[in-house]
Amino acid sequence: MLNRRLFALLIKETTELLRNRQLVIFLTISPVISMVIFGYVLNSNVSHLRLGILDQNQVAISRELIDAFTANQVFLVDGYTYKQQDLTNQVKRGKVDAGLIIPSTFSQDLMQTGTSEIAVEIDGINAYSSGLAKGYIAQIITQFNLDLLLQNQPISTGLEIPIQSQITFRYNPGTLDSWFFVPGVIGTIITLSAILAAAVEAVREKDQGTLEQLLMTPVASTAILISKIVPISGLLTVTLLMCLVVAYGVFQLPFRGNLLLLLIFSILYIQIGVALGLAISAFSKNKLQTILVGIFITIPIILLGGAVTSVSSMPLLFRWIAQINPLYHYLVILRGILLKGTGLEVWWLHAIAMIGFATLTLLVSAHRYRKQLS
Amino acid sequence: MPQILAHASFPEKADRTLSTPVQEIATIAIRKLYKHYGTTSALRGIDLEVQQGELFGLIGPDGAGKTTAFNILGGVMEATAGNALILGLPARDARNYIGYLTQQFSLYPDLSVEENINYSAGLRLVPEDQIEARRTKYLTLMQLDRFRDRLAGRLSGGMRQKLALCCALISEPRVLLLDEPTTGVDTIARREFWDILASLTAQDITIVVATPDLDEAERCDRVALMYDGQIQQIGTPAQLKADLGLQRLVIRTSALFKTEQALLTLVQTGELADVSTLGDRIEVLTPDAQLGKKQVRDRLAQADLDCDRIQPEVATLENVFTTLLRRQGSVPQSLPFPRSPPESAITPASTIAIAARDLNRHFGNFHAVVDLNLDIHYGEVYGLLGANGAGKTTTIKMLCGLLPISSGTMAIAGETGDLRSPALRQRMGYMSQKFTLYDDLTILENLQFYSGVYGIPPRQQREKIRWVLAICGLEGQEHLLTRQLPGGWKQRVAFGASVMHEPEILFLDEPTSGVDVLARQQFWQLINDFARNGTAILVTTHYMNEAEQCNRMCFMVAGRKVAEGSASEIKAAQPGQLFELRVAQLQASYDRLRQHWEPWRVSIFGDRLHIVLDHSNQELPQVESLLQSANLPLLDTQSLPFSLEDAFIGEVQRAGGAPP
Amino acid sequence: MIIRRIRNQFFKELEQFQRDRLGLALAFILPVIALLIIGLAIRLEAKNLSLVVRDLDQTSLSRSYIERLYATNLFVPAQWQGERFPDALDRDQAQVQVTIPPGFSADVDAGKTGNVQVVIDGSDVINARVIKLAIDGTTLSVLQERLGKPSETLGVVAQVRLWFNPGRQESLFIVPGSYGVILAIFPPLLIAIALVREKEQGTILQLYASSLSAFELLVGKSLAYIAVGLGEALILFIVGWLFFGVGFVGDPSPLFVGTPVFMLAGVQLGLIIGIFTTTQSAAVQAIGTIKVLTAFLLAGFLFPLSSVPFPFSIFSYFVPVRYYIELCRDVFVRGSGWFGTWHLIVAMLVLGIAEFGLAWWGMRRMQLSS
Repeated sequence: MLNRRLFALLIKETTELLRNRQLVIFLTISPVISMVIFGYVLNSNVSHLRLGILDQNQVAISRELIDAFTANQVFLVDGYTYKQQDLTNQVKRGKVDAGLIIPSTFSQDLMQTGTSEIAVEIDGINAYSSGLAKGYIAQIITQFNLDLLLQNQPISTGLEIPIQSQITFRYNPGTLDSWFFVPGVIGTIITLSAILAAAVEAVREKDQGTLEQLLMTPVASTAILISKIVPISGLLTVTLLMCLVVAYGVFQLPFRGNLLLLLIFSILYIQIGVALGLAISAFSKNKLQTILVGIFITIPIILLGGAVTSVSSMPLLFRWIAQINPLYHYLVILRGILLKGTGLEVWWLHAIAMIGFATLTLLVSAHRYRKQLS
Repeated sequence: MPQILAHASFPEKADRTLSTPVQEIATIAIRKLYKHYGTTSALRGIDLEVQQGELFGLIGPDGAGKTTAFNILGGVMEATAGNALILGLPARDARNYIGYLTQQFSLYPDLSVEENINYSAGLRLVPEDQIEARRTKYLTLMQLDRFRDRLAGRLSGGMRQKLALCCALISEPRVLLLDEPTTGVDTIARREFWDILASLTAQDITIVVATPDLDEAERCDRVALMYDGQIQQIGTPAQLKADLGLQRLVIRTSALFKTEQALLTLVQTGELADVSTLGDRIEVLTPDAQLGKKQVRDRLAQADLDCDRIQPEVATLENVFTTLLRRQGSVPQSLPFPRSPPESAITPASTIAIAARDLNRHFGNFHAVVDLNLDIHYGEVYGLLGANGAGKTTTIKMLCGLLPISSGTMAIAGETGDLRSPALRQRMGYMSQKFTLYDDLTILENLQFYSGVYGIPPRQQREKIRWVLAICGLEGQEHLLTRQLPGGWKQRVAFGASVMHEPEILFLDEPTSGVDVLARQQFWQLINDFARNGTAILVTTHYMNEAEQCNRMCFMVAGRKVAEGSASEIKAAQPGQLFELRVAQLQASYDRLRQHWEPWRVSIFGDRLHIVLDHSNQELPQVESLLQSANLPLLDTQSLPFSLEDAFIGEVQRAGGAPP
Repeated sequence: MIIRRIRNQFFKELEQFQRDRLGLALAFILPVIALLIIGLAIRLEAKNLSLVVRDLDQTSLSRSYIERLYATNLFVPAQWQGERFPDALDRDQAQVQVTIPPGFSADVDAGKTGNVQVVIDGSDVINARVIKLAIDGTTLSVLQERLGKPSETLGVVAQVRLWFNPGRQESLFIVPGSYGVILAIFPPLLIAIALVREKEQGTILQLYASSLSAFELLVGKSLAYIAVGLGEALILFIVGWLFFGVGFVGDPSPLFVGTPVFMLAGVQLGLIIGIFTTTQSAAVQAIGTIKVLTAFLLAGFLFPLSSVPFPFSIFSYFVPVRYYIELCRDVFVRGSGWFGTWHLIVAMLVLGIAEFGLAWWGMRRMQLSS
């Protein structure tokens, strides 16, 4: 009897959900498309910075220095100027990202004193890229000096470079940005979709006025709750699988860990999102409020969860806050399984946190939803 | 009640029925209008002309194509073929001269009365210096001026429709299109609404109105009967009735059911055209009044039944309509409900199913229900009657356990403790005012859902769904989305959905609102059938002649019960005397009489006037002289027993009037 | 006449908008809270990177190498006591491990190459790159020193000057950008909901039944939500100024012109979504996937657009937020005035008008579709 009722509810909710074609498309196709786009687009590396050059020295060594700047694509020569004022203006107006000034006495100083000054002006508007650019410049200059030194050291002929750092990138040997961002985008999409769709879909029955009729039937409120959670979770699981297929097929993420655990914790995360959405719908009076509150909750979850920036770089307070952000834990697990191949023995604490969140959100939303029903 | 027409200082309208100007261009001219939706055709060649100042009624069963016709006339939808001219312009170009009240809610619930009107005024470019004057004029006319700041969403059904009409009128359109404007509106407000319409046509506004209520349609100048996307008949109500060629016999008897059964045999033999129970009387249609009367008397004598009175009458528009539909073969089927074998003996009718003691409900300062006592037995149909906002829906919701009570006690099916237990809900059925079905599911999916949540075993489920589809006449169309169904049809499906599990107690909140006449009759047959099988039924309705079919009923005014009993008990308790006047000029006579008596005492019933007089000896001659002095012929005067509607209006007025 | 109808539509929208008090409050409070969160929490600059060092050499050279590593101020020692080495990375307890092998110093002295072994957690690409730069830098400077001279007097010295934001204050970077992101989400969301709600409730039929044109309807609605958006913008600017100290630099007038133009473009996209969706849930998902993602990820809010690869870089030109973010950064940080910003406003205007055209096209019939 109970099963038949629950079954009827599930059929009804599933039919209603699937009948809203536009919603289904926005929940399945468009996440996959966005994932492809963002997987390609998101690139934290800094390259192709426009470099303006004022070379007042115009000798071989000054040209060598310019070549050193542009050797690894970090900088591209945008143009040459002949007055320092022009170059500074270009930097200040954002025409070029950086300006390299080589004074006329450059080669002379270097010969005579062994040291010479150049100036680099950087457009600091983008603190991120200017920071990286500064680092690259320091590296370029040091390498240039080293090369200079090695050329001028008569004793070192035929010798190997004395110190070398052998750097290997574990988990992501090619330092592919997509390997970092794809799991982040998956987490973002699931968060957005689960919370908003569940909230709006759950409030719909209240808006339509059919809730009363439903309450007059002998179904238990738990059954209603289950019927609100299962179909949307099912659909989002399909979305998730599609995203994973894209991650594997298009972006060639290594999928090093246990796929079963990946699925279990992904579904668990979908549950958390859906339960949060239900709780939001139970707290708000109408659709507009539901949507606004939904977005309100979603934005910090995404921003503070480490989807596009590292949680470890955040101020201490926000690193603590991340601990109560389910997306943070999910992303640790997701990246752990996809990239590192780690298992429960490594991220068991995060797993427990997620199970805790799932239980908590389900209890809260069940309680609120029930209260609203009676 | 304030004088509605006090502000209507309009020039007296010439009697158009006598002198329709032939030479002028028709205000609305429709030629060969077709509309297809995919493969289904909603309109199949409509030709129609409506003259200036006409009150034109569009009637037809649900799904006849009325709303489509309105959408095309209103310029919001394109016709597949043919054209619709309004004031000589294509409908879409004439939108500035049209006011269109859609069937859907056309107001912004989160804007106030005044803001809604201002918005409509701006939308239709009402000159700014005139807005205030017009707004005041129409709000006063509709008696809404006290509620300027109230949000539209918080108005009662009747007020909403009046406000919607205000919004349509603010631009002083020359044509008004009203698609079932009185659905869900109570009797009293409905009358006021039609009084307003009458006064508007007096200002030469042309009105096309659709209504499922044929008593209302009697007030139209001309009527078109639509069926299956075509106009079947068109003419003045008098013409249509004359063309029917049938006489009506009104039989008053106490044994309604048996008399009807006895007379139905005469229908089968073809001696009588039709027999139906309407409220407290039986109506028979016969080609010849004298012969028919004799046939009826003979048949009743045979069956050993007696009757108080058989009275020949002119056929009504409803007779015209039902006869047409019967000829078309579109009468809703009455199939026996496929009951599951009874598990136990039927609960004795003496047992009380619903009991309420001193029930109260407050919403803030507002007292929605005051000290209500109810005792409803199994097998009883109990009517809860009242104007919009009288507390009927609140009462039902409390009895259903959907709304907590402020104070008092209730027992439902003997249960006093947990009124929300699934076991109890399994024994109850509920059909809410509008929102029983899921719009985005098909009919079949809705029915499967409800039979599923009520745990009906699969085999019975199929049988019952087939039954619902059959009584709704929707076989083969069960895969339509519910959203696409006309309102009346939705109601029928919703009713089916709420009774499939054979509830012991059934709550029906305005089950027949927006439902056409024939389907309404069928509804009541089904309701009575369930009652005979022991179900206790609590029903609300705005149609008083339906309410007569209730075993018992009560009137509610402002949350209080003001009268209770059977229909005859209530009618017998009415003070004063009721007279029916047959007059040549209905509207003018009506207006004239209302200037002298309290407006509620005078009302239009079909093509007659009803007047309630406390001292008939002195007042009746006064009526005659009043009409005579205005040169309005009075054809006939007759003393009548009170109908339930008269009783209702009287009770409501004496109890202080309908709430706003 | 047209003006009158637009005005009528405009005031009606505002009346409806302010009716739902909680909705109204949320519409203004949510952007501020979003700003605070973004401004306070988002940090792209790497800091406190956890480092595990295993010095198996224990010589002065190895110790000076380690000292120099910490001198970059990037690293903090990781809390790691384990033995198996890659464990620290696997367990997320360190982001980088540096091993100085035994005999490192001896190898260097012997004229062979001393290899410092570094393993970086590459799953966090952003930090991985910074770590690599730091380690390379450290190695090179140790090497320079080893080759003889103190680095200050050696070779080329670059005087690096960072314009506008010499301290690389993150708030100066994040806050103006977040204005764009936040304003790109809320006004379109509100207008899309408002339009779809009219369709759901059926009140749109009244508009169809009047001779209101699509142009008047769209302009009226747009202006109302542009006004709401300007209110939100004003509050954001004030909060940004009071809380993060981000004030105008130079001529603020491009912002005063550019903000309404940006609103115009943003709100049109909301309208388009409202026109082509039929339910509020679909509209919200559309805004969610299209607006939220593009605003955060495709507008140069965090990562520079110059590194977006070719076919995809085209997309970003159709995202009005990118121009607005650039405009905000100019007005609040750079201060180049009209000279450096007029083209941004023109770009947004062009996009806005094109979007309006699309919205108008979708709505032009003002009729029920069969």
